[in-house]
Amino acid sequence: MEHGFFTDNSAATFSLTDEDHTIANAVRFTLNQDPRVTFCGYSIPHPSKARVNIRVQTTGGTVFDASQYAFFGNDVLEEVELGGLDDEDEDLPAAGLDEEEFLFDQEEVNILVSFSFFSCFDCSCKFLLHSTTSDYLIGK
Amino acid sequence: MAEGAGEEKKKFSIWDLPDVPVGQLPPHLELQRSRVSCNKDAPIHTESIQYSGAYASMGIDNSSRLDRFSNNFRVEVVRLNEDDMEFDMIGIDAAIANSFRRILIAELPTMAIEKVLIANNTSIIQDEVLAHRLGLVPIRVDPRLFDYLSENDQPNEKNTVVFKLHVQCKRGSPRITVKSDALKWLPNGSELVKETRNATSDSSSKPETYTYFGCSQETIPEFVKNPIIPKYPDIIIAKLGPGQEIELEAHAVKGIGKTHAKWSPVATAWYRMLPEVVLLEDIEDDLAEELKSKCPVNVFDIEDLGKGRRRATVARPRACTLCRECIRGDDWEKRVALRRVKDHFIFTIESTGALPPEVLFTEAVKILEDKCERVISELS
Repeated sequence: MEHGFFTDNSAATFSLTDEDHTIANAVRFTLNQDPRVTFCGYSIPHPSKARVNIRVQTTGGTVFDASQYAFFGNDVLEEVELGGLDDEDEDLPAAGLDEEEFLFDQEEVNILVSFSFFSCFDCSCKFLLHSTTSDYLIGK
Repeated sequence: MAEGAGEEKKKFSIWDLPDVPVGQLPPHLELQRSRVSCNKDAPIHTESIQYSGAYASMGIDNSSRLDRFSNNFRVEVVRLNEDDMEFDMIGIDAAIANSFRRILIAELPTMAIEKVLIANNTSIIQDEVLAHRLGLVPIRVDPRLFDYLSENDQPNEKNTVVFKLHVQCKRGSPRITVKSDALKWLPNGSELVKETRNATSDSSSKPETYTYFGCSQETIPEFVKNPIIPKYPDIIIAKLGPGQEIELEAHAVKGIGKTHAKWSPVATAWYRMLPEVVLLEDIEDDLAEELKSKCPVNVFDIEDLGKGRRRATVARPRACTLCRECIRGDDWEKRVALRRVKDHFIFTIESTGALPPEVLFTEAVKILEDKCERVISELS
């Protein structure tokens, strides 16, 4: 469960529930390695609540090519566009930013560049899985 | 003379100097990037330089690409026993190594006793203390064969394992110690009968118990030859004096370490970075003897150079515990450098016995993969 906030198409904050340092630190590290990312960090708003915010700022201007990821199917952008959100405004919750839930803007084509990191990370994890099983057998 | 000065100003590039390596970082920067220097007072250069543009002005690309990662990454198993394992992961960063450690400790499921139905307890161990101790006993069963039991589910053969404990110390006999081998597995489910309100229910129907087993767990192929028992038969659960008795039934369910530490499948799991001990100058004769005797884990060795001269060498850097004895005292810091390699992790996993350690680690990788996929699917 995550939401992004942007008047700005090249940066977003993702708020993940039921997650903690385990995945946030690993994602932050992998994102920082990507040359298109200018800033990436994460924070945990309160330790008793299992929620983590990951902030990503990119160089912008790059377009996400979904065709290389089989997960998204072969259709490039249509599937990833979140339709039906034209009508929603970006509302900041009146109570303040402690919840940090933000709504998607319709024009988020450029922000999808950040989605590639998840796939990169996923690929690297899948790779880790392969290497762990095969290499340990060889090393043994 | 202005023209003369203008002509002499040629374009000077640092890369033209003969001893600067092209295409890689200069050695002092490479040291800073890839090693933690452990000095006498504190380590320096501990953070990992993740930012992809860190060395951009030198033309070095610090970003990690999947192909470079897959070329450099290696796993080497050093020791593999039934219950513990030590292996090296090379080419990975601390963030991901820590994720694996956290998942191994807190997010791998196991089976542990959760509900204890006590029929009779006249021992001096209180009910709740007894139940707590039973929960911490590790059970030798593969948790992947079972499902989670949620609040709305009924306990059945797919999500519960039932144990029975009935011990009695007769009057006149000496005190007995109740050990974990007294826990008997009940493959057919609970034997304690629930009290039903209907006194008029027909006596021919089977009495209702606390679990609803459809079939006996003994029929499941994995358990035909391997009954479910606690992993260690000699864990002391209670002690009974003459005339005391304990009769109870314990139900074990699947859970993860985050909820309660009894469900953690590892005794512990930890990692350390590979130590690197470097002699900055030649250490000979008496100094060499002194250095060798200083180290409590025998990292150094003496080699003979002939003509009675001896020199110290680093024989077992991996054994170094970073006690810093070798750099204590005057001037030793100039002769010995203690470092750690930032991307080489020595992992040790000690399993409590439910699953062998290599299976635990592959399951941990799968769980990290599942988390990523969940995030990806939520995003789209």
